[in-house]
Amino acid sequence: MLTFVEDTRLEAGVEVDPVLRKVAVVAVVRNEYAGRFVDDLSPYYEASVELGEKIAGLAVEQMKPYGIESYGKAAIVGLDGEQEHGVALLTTPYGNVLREAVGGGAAWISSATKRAQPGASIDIPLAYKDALYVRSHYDAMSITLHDAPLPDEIAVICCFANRGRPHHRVGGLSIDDAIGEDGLT
Amino acid sequence: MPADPMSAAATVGTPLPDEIAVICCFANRGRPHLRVGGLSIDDATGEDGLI
Repeated sequence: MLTFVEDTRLEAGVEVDPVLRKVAVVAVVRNEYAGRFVDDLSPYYEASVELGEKIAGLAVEQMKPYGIESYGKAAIVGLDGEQEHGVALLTTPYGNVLREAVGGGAAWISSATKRAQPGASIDIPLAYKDALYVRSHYDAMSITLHDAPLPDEIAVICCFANRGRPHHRVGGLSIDDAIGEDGLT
Repeated sequence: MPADPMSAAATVGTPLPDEIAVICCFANRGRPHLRVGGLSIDDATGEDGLI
């Protein structure tokens, strides 16, 4: 498992208050379906619950003392697997573990999945956890995994942030005006 | 689930320090061999932006 913590204290020479913290936690697991086509991927939905609890638990710890306003998820599949294998580890059971870890979330969890070699970077999308249209929180965290995933591995990722972008000022729905019930507004 | 991004790399050294690369991306279908359930495109209503 890997943990990435990024604190932004200054942007364009102006203090960021409160500090923007982004955390990504990665679990690299063996891909049982690497190198062969298996139609039924449902065992991965079930496996993603325990995996998600470990990943999200670490991420919540690393976010302290800050609260969590944004979340996102991602997977990088090693070269012998399919993108679909990564998606199978990020479905609703995994998402609900993340929601529970952050104290509830009404919005869907933005995601990115791809197949890549070790050394690849990925931009994990971030959005406000209760209302997707909150523009201040459209963001991403970029991470690079230097020795993973190997061809028969999958890197499963969750990402949290405590606030929107530094000096956000392009309008749209604000977090204060969001209702947080339908996941959009 | 919007889980199918496209990766691209500019080969001419962009953006330069005083430039911004503005991007849009389209696709004609879902992932190859999609089979992890969830709402299907046939069952989607397409009105509220969610379902």
